[in-house]
Amino acid sequence: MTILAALVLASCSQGKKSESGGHQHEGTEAEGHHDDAGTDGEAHEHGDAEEGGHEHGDAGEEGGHEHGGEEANSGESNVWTPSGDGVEAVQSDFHFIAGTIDNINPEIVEADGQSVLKLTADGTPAAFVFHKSYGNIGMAVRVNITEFKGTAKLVHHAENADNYEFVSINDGKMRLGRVVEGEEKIFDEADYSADDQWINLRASAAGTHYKGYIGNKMVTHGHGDEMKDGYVGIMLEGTGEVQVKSIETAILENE
Amino acid sequence: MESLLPEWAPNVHPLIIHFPIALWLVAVFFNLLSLLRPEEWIRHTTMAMYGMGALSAVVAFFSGKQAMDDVYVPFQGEMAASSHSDWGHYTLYFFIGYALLHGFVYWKKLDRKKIVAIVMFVLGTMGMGLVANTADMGGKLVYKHGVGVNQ
Repeated sequence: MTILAALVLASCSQGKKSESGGHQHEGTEAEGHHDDAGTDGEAHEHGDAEEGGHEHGDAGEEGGHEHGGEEANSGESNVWTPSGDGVEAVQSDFHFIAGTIDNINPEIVEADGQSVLKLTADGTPAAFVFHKSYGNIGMAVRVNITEFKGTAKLVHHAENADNYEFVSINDGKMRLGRVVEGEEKIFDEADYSADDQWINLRASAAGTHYKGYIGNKMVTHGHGDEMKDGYVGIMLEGTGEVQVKSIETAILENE
Repeated sequence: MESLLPEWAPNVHPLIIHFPIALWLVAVFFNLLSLLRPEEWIRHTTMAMYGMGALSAVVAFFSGKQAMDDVYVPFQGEMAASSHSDWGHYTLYFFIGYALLHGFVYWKKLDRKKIVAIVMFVLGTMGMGLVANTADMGGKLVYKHGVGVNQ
């Protein structure tokens, strides 16, 4: 009977979830097989989202980015790519849950014919997140950390600097876990290798399943209770230069 | 093990997964038959089918766990992957629990009482619901999201 009760509860918890929101970056659908260069060359557009994640607050609409007119449906992926001024791009599209913009000194530079967000970390932990909070979420960041010494994290379900989930990479090791009230709990960790200096670091939180990928290869997979909706973004704990070509987010829909 | 796989198969899971489905279905069929015709050979066959169904579910579960860590899942397939995994757990626990219970009932010959036989049949049928849910999510992973296809 206990098993049956658990099954009924599990079944009930799988109801559809949809969000309505405002402005959102519209990008490519995450469906399909990405290679490591999967998100290169995406345009930076903002679309009026009928449903789906709301990555911009009101401040975001005043940023210096182009706004596209396409509508984003819940379940589609959205790609943020840098353009314009680095400080303005970060300030308009993100807010900080740890550190300040001075700790990462954002600049927009050109790399491989494409605008890249260059961050120079000064050693103070800094985390910048999109304005919208999410539940089940996929996130992929095209990033170059070859000139960075420390830990780069994709954070999600982030409430503040003491409560968040993460996939981190540091010196060839990926860790997957969560921080609750400042206490870190690791669900899984594994070594990874990357052939290219640009890697597609990917994290997903689907129900109680959490995964970390490098490109198409899953490196870490762990399980934990579902956390409250929270912000998604990037946290840097270390010194040196990090370059970001794109940040893709996808709201994961219940099936 | 991988060298034994056909070149089109991404892993061994799709080759194994049909066994628990089919064996449990046949077990439920024989279970029904045993209600209608209480003959010993049908009773034995029912027990054997449930036992093999549970054993094959164990193999399918672990092959699925290995497969899930190997294949690329696009973002929009992640929820189906999680649900498939969760329902796979529920199905495995139910199959093992039920097979053990059925084994006890069979051993003690309790299933010769009509009410016990009916309850065991109903429970066995519920196992079909679990495996159907698991299979539904697995089907979505492959045919909707293309997981494990052409990798």
